[in-house]
Amino acid sequence: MNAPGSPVSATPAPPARSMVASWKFWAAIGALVGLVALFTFGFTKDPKIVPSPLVGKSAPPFEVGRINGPGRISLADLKGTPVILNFWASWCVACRDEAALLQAAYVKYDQGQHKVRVIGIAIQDTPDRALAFAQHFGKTYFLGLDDAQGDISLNYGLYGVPETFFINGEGWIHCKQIGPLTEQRIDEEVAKLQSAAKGERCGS
Amino acid sequence: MFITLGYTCLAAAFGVSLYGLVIPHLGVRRNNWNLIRSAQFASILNFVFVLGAGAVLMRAFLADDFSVRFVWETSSTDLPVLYKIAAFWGGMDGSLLFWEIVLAGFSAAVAYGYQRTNREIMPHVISVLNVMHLFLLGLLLTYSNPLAVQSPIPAEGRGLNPLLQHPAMAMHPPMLYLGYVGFAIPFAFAMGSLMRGKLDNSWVVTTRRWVIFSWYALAIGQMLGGQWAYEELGWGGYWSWDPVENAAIMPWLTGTAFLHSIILQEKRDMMKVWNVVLIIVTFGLSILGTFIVRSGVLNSVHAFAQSEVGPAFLVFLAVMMAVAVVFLFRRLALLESRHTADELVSKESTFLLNNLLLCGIAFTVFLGTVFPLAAEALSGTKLSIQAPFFNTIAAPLGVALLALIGVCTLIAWRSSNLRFLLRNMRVPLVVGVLAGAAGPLLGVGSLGAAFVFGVAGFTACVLALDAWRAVRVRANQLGIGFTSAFQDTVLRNQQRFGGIVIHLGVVFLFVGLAGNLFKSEHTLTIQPGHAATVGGYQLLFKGVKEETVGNARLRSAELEVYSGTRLVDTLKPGRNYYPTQPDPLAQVAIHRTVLEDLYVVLAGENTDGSVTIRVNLNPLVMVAWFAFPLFTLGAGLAMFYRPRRLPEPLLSRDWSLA
Amino acid sequence: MRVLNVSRRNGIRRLACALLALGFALWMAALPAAALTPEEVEQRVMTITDGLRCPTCQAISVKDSEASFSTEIRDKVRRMVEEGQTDDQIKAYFVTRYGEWILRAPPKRGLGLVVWALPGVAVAGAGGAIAWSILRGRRGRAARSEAAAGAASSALTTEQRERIQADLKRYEEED
Repeated sequence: MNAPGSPVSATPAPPARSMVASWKFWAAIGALVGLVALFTFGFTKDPKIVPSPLVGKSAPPFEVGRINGPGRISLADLKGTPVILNFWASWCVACRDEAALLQAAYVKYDQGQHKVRVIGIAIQDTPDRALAFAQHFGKTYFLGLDDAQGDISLNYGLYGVPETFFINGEGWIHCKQIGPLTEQRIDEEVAKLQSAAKGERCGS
Repeated sequence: MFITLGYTCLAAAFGVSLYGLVIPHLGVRRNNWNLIRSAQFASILNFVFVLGAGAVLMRAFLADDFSVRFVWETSSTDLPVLYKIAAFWGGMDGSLLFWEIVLAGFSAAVAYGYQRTNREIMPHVISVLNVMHLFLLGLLLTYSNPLAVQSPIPAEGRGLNPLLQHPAMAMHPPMLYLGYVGFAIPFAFAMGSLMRGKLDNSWVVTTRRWVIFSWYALAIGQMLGGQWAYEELGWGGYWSWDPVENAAIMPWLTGTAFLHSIILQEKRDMMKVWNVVLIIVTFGLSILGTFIVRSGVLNSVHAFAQSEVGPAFLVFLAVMMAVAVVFLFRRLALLESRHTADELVSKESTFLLNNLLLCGIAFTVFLGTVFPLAAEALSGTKLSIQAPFFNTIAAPLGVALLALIGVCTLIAWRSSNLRFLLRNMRVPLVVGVLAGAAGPLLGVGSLGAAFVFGVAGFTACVLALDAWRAVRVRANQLGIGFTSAFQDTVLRNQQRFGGIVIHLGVVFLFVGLAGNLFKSEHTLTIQPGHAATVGGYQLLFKGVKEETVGNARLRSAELEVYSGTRLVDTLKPGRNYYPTQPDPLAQVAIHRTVLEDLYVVLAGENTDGSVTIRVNLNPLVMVAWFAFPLFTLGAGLAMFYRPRRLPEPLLSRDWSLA
Repeated sequence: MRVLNVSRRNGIRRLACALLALGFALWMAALPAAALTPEEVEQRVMTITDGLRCPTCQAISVKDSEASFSTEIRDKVRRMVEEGQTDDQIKAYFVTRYGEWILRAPPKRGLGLVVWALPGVAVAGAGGAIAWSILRGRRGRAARSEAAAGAASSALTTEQRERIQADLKRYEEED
């Protein structure tokens, strides 16, 4: 029943033609579509990952002494051979799983024939703790230690561990892996390194 | 058993909301008021069901029922009761349920309270609100079920992040949600008006209190968040322009603009289109804010983890905004205002300037928050837009607003004689200059801060004179004393005095913010038994103590604080080592006075027994917090008044005493 | 008898002061850069690190962050300041290695310039549009009242004309 005195039915809408013709309407709809598209794009990206500007450029020089043995090595010494330069630390939990993979890569590519050199540099660490980690997780390849001021890690634009740089034979950084490596990723990038292709983020 | 009951309540609420979505339109079409009344009743029923589900979840928290996965994720047996309650909204699922409870409560209030008024648009208002209910309940029943059970039942919960165990943080989300959801009501009324084609000022008048309430809730929610960041995070500040913080301030800024421009619509029948646009934008920003927090799309330290809820919110936002835009443009012809601003020097134009500045700041915040993502989409480069950008642009706009409060109070409606205006400004300008000069004279090194003090002095003087004049006129009218007239004047002009008090709170807030311009930060290393001098204080380091507090191991450095030879305080900055956290959490120690905070954080313990501490001298922080009680008093005055029913011709005139 | 009148004397005095100041400035610039005091070094470190984003925590500046990388960056900045490098050189060092992302506000060129300029342009533009529309409305009303007044017979005195204008204005205001 209709309540006395108050009409309930709606007034008819004015013709929609004027709405569609208005540029302001389409501007508003366009802005809305743009915003949605932007955030949909955002879903495909991880905001915490910072791509490195060093990729595609020549790798910064470094020189370290070995902690699991005698000797020193510098980037210049490695010229001519592709390098997997891995930054790690004894306090880094994600580096534990990675250790076995890197050791396997060392055995596969480095040991003996030196097709690809595998170098690990510990950062923000002490020789004792780094050695203990290496022994526990079976890392026998060349392991160095960054100095207390973090010169090498700052030079390479490090902001966390583990991070790995794939450097080709001419000394250019082919790609940078942020976070732990997988066996598949290592094999893929090594193959690309040997073909002298230039990547961006490892996997792209 | 209880859990199934709770879940059934949610499902029942979903059904009731579906009824409430469809039936009002049926009632409108068939001219059947009873159908619409049943939809109003359905809103109340929806609230009862949702409250029931909430009660079930709360019982699970209080009883440590870890069969409920959400309780296990956010609570533990050793959590104090306050934080068990706060854990309800401490995670994604529970916070969505909290949202829905608040929205259902507001919808029920609207359905019950406005049964007899606003008859023509009520069906549409209820329908729009039920769209929101359906969305939230849909999420709660599927992706984001807070009552999902797990087995086997763990003996202990994961616990609430110790960072969040702070009283301000317990109240921060509820206040923010009250604010966000509060803006849904004027939005629904605007939509109702547009759908119905009834485009007079009734929707604005009806929802004014909701707008004040939402404004207040958002303001307090943000201040609580700032207080928490200041006391818990240890970086020395209370606002960092983080994307999630920006997500809250944007609807608050446009909501403030809306609060002012609806006055223009009520008093002068202006800005009708702009007000609809502004409430659509404000509500849209509320949803966007929730989306930013929950989706993980923007890099923020506050955000909840990424989840499927993000895309759902984006779709909801897009649909609501698209429908709103379509209805707005369909009714554009009916929304013509009767008046526009007449003169450049008039109260109307200062209100327009107010809207311009507030929306300008909101636009800046929006740009800075979203631009990094846009730049990445367009050019692939990642760039950062953080505090330096926002502070540089928002600060001058904010100070202009502060001055505008004073100027606007002095200007009359329609038009003002410039000479008359300047004459009225003389005393406040003098006060302003004195206040500004006081800064450097008292040792404040920053010219910017002195300028802010000057503007604050000017505006505070204008506000005080305005109040004083109003009371004096009343006192003369009634022939009574000033103090007796005071209560009478305030009670007769609650809205106006509420506004004066809130604006005074804004003045205090700005004075407090200006303290950031001349704060100092020091890093010191002190040996045990030695003292260091910072500002006017000497800090004597007594030694490091270790104790167990709850489930944490607290190592703190005991510092005795002397001003001259007088011991003023003992501060214990330290670090809490929790078994569940890899890094220790800072325990900040603060010695507060009105003029400055002595803020100490333990940076590290060194091998030789000394400690490295970071000491900040933060001026005027207490002054900023003082805005809190002023906002509360002002909002209370403005909201809880009995409107006197004046006849229509008298209603449309401006009776303000300016 | 005066050799020079007052204004010329003052002019010469001002010129002499200016020349002295210029000479002093040139002399100061020619001096080798004085070593920075520890307070000045700290001040510069604070300013520079306040503009750098902490790469690990990412929400706050290097100045405010306690993260290990931030501490290393602060120490590196301190060493670079003590070596005598300029603010721009130090920032460029980090931008080369971390990208423009490490700057907390975009540099004022290219895309960054758009961001910095847009808010001011938008507010000024909108403000101008509002002011213009108010003034246009005012001119329209003034023209209308002029026309209304002009239509009256020329036999009116100026005083009567003014009264008509005032009455018309009041009539419009009470609308």
